[in-house]
Amino acid sequence: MTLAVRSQDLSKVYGEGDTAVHALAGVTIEIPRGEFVVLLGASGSGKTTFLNQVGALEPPTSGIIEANGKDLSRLDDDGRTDYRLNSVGFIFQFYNLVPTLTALENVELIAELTGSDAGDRSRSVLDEVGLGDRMDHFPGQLSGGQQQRVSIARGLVKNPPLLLADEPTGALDVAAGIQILSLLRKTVADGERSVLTVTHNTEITRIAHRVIELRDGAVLGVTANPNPAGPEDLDW
Amino acid sequence: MTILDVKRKRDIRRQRGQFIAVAVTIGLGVMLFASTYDAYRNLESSYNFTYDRLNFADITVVGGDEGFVDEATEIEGVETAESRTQADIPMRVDGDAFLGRVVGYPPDGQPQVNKIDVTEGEYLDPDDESAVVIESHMAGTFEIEVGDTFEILVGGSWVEVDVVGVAVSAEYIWPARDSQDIFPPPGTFGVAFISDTLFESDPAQVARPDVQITYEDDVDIEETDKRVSDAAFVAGAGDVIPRADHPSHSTLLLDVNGFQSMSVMFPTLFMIAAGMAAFVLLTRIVYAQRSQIGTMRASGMGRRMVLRHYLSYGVRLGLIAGVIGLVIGMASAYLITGLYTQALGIPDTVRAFHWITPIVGILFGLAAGAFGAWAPARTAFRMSPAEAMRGDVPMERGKSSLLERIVPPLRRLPVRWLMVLRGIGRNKRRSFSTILGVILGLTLIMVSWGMIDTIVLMMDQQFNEVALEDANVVLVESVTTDAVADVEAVAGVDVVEVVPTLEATIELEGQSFSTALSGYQTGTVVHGFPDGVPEKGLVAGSGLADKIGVSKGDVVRIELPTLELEFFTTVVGFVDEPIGTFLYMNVEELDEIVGTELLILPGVSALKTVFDDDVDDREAVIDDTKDLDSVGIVVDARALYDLMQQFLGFFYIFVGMMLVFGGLMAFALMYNTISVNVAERSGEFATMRANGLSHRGIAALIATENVLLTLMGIIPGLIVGYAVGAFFMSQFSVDAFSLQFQMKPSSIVLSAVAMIVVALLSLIPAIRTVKRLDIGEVVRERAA
Repeated sequence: MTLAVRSQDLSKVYGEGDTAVHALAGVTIEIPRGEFVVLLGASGSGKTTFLNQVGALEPPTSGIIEANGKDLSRLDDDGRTDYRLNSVGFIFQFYNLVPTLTALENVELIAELTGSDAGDRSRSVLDEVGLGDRMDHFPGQLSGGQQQRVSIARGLVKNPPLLLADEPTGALDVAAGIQILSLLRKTVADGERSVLTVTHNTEITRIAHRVIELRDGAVLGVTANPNPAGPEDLDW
Repeated sequence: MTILDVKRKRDIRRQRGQFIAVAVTIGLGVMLFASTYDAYRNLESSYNFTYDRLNFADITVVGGDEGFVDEATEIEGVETAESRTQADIPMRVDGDAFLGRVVGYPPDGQPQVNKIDVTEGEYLDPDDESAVVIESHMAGTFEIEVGDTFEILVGGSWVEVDVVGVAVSAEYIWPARDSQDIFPPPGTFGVAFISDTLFESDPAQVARPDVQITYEDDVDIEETDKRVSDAAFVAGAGDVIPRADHPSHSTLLLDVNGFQSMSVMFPTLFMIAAGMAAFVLLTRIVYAQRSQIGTMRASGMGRRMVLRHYLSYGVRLGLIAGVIGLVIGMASAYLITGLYTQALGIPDTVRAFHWITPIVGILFGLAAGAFGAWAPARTAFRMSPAEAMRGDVPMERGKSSLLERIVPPLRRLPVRWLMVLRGIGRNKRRSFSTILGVILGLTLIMVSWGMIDTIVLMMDQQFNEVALEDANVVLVESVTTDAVADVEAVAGVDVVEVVPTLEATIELEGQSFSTALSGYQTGTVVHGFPDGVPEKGLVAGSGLADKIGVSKGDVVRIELPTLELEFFTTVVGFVDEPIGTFLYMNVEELDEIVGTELLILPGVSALKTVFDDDVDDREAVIDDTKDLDSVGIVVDARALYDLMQQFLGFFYIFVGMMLVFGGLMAFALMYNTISVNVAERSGEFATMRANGLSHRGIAALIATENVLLTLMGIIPGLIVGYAVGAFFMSQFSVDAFSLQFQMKPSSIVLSAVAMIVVALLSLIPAIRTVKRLDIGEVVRERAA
């Protein structure tokens, strides 16, 4: 089994002394490649902190975090930037689109970082997420679901082996949420790409290959789901 | 063009008002630099070109042994030395007499030093002793053309001379009589270049022999000046005038130095303002784009690319605004140089391209933009992507305002007014920026306004407290009791006093200064002496304390070169006079030293008259005085005052422009800080609007907060403005006057009021924004 992510005794502490917050306290997890994995937990359980560790957004306090065979805990700032450029794509709850750029330009902005054909690749990936006819629209002219699809296209345009989604449906209605989850599930269909999505919505766990539950910065349990449901079966 | 370029372009377009404000400030700064610096360099080049072409003397030695001209050529560094004679004598043009100057020139060809540029007619004729060439200002003032005649008083008789040419002289580009009289009123001075044989045949009694000296190229000017001065004084010279102290040259240098000072000071003010405005704006942009920065960083964008991106807002803005400002500035300099040389009659106009101007101008623009963008870009550079994506975090912690802590009852104010007080300390950078805008704007306004006030107050002091005479009367022959009585009898004349004035050199412990010594009677009413005229001893202009280090009680040596006389006396007091640094004695003591027979000579003593208070027609009194047989010249002492009043018109235009620029600068900075304030607090204002507070109510909150900040900036602004104005004015100092920066209280109040008006104007766009605030849109944007 090839692993997409592996962590061992991973800890992240914010602050010092009496005010120290142990966001992650010795998390050990293995995530196989090609799976759609849900990180479940209440607010403050450490889900986003773990996602940030996998995305190399910040260094751990202690322990090991590996992704695609790379020890992220040993990378310096340039190394982490390089890793994020080539190995991961991010999707955020509030999309984080640049309001002054069109849908296409928002995707191109990231595509330009990884070389030539930025325009062609961006158009292609926007077509994939069903926004071929909305490419020249600005974020303010798009619905929440459409904006999140631009955000997914932005995550996919670099063709990363790992896609990290932080509450991707948190700001959407059910129908739009299901559309987004369908897209995310589709990205792991070839078995080469993995998706790690953070949510506190237990209904979403039904479509996951694996559910990792966190509480107070520690792993409460890992549940494998050999027969995940389809996104169209979800309702919340 | 990359997508980041597109983003920057659209970000700028989205906040174009604020970016335009920054660009205008940078552009004005660069424009002022380019126009004043280029004008300064062009003027300097124009003068130097004329000086080189006409071989303007590097130093002039006044008086001394006849053989000094030969000695001088042996001095290290001296290239040429020539002697000549000049005299200040009465002239008469169309019946109007004045004290002019004749300068002896070789009739058979131009001298080697101080050549004249004959622009009309011809040079002197060796066969015609009555042929004269007049200096161009004289031709212009008296409307004399080639072929005309006028009279000069030689040996007590009026001699008619023929004008054969009009010429420009490097010595009289600015037509100053001497270093103490650099503003002779029109119609009171003129220079004629006459055949030196005329001097030989009938030398004037007050003729002054000079030696004109030029130096070799590349010599050390100061060293050579010293060598020549030492040798000249050993040879009995009365004075030496290095080129730097030449009355015309040093007066022209005032303007050059003024342009030079302006080319540094004003642009610096604008650059600070522009940098601060850019800083406030870009800090807001970086803060508002935290989540975008986080996303870009999370997607693999390096820190340095983020730094470059945000730095590029300021740098590109600085570059574009700088180039536009530069083009306008250099074009203005081209025009200013032409207008200036034309107005002053400078024969050569040199407009050179100075590489330093575009280089420094562009660097100025870039520096202002980069200075403003650096800190926000660095914030973006340092932003951790995880932190950046945590969404809005309060920029500062809330706390009671300083005023509330000092005056606790203020806590009982309505909450919305507490918001105003706390808003001041809420974002210190923003508040500081508004205050800085007030300080910089006030500085520019006060420097400009102070220039006018300084000159107006100086003129008022000079003509209402110091020089109290209405007219100066020079008699044709020696002063007699009858002649004085004739003038006293003229209708409208109230008082007549005989005032002798002599060229004099004061010397103390090896330090000397050449000026004029006048004798006034005890209780004089024609000149203001705060402590009266002393019975014995010398009263000196206060500037002498700096010039030769003289103090009250010092015994000084006084030399009167035209009378070949010297004596020692004690300095008993100083007078603070705005124009000139003169020496004064009691006329009776001067009479004892010089002797009545010399003191009554027409070239020595003049009559100063004061008119009756109820005189309406000053011209008539002057004309009646002129009609007396015994009177040679009558000079209206108020003509200079009137002339200066006319010149003030030009100053008002300059000050008006500076007021506009200062207002624009302050407006740009305040407009940006207020716009950012409103943008940062749009959520707050939307909530208040949603809860029923009218947009007028919100406008009142914003206006009060910013007027309070403006008031906080006014006192430091007045102090800084005054200090900068005083420094600026100190650059304008020659022997004839030293400007002490002064401002009328009303001008200070009006400057402060002007800033409050600018502050209120800068509120208008922000208040319109609040009025148009779409509560729903604000909430949606904040969610996104």
